Amino acid sequence: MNPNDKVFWKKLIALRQRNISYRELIDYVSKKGIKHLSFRELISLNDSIADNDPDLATRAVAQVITTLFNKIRLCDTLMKAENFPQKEVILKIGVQQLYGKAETYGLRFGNTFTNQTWRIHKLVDELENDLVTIIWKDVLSRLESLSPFMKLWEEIRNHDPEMSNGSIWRTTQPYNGRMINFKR
Amino acid sequence: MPSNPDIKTRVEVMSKNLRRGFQDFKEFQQLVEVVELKELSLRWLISISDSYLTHGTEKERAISGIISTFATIGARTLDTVTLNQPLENLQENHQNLYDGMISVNLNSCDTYQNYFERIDSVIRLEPFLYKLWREIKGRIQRNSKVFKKLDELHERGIYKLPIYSQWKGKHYEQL
Repeated sequence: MNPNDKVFWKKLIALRQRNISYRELIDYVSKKGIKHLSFRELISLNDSIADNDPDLATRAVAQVITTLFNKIRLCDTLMKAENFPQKEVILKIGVQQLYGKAETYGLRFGNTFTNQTWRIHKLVDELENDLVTIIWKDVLSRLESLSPFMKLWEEIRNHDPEMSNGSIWRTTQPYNGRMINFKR
Repeated sequence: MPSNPDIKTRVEVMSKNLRRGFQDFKEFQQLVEVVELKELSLRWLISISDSYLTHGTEKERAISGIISTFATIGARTLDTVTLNQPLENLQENHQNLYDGMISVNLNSCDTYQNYFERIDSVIRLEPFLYKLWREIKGRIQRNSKVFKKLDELHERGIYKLPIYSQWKGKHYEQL
């Protein structure tokens, strides 16, 4: 790996080896900001919060962000499979039984994914931790612009404008059918 | 103690009423925390986690957020888009994705073991949610096509468990 911020990366390794305190890493990031960090560095920062923050709720919320990212990264990995379904095939998937009464969801206009993103956003918002909030918004923003799976999902959502509720991303107004893009 | 069908129905009705704002969360909580979770379907287990995510204390909300995100974005999304498709010819080694990120190395990397260890260390601090998590995770391990496939591909198994063929048909707690 070729780090974008070598000082950050050294501090991260030092933290894992317990040679610096968690506070020292956070102070460095708070001073420098996170925009210059690569996606990998950003996720490593989030994982460090999940592992080390003294506040349990903060650790848990950081792990929610890690979970969302991890699963989308797995989707991106699976998309490398030769026979990963094309958009047209996915569009034909209606609501069907999966297992344990869990169902597939109506990909074109179902709100399952969107509602989950909204719930996480609300969770982050109420935590009132500035760094976690910035990381969350940045992770979403980068996923939206970089992840092939997220782009595919947006295409599916927007395939039929009359049926779609719009973007998969939403920050406010749950359960009323309105979708609002993230303000960045 | 009400019979099992009664409990299942009460959990379902209370979950729906919570969404509509007609149900007191404390009453819901008192019921689900004594329910035999094995009796409930995965759908309602996830629904319980979603209810904690919406109505619980700050700590409960944050912890159930991990469980709900794993179940919804992880298993359900993956299993939906790959429905009716065999997951063959997966690239098993690291490949570049974007912005410094590499793909999950499906056969040997520690991504999932590290991930499960990390989230377990926090979820276990809330005993009921930990019990719920173990049940949901166990169901996904046993039923999700994608997670079964990942477990088969991984040299050590992504859950530090024997490969799927050895535990097929067993409850995860029997292992």
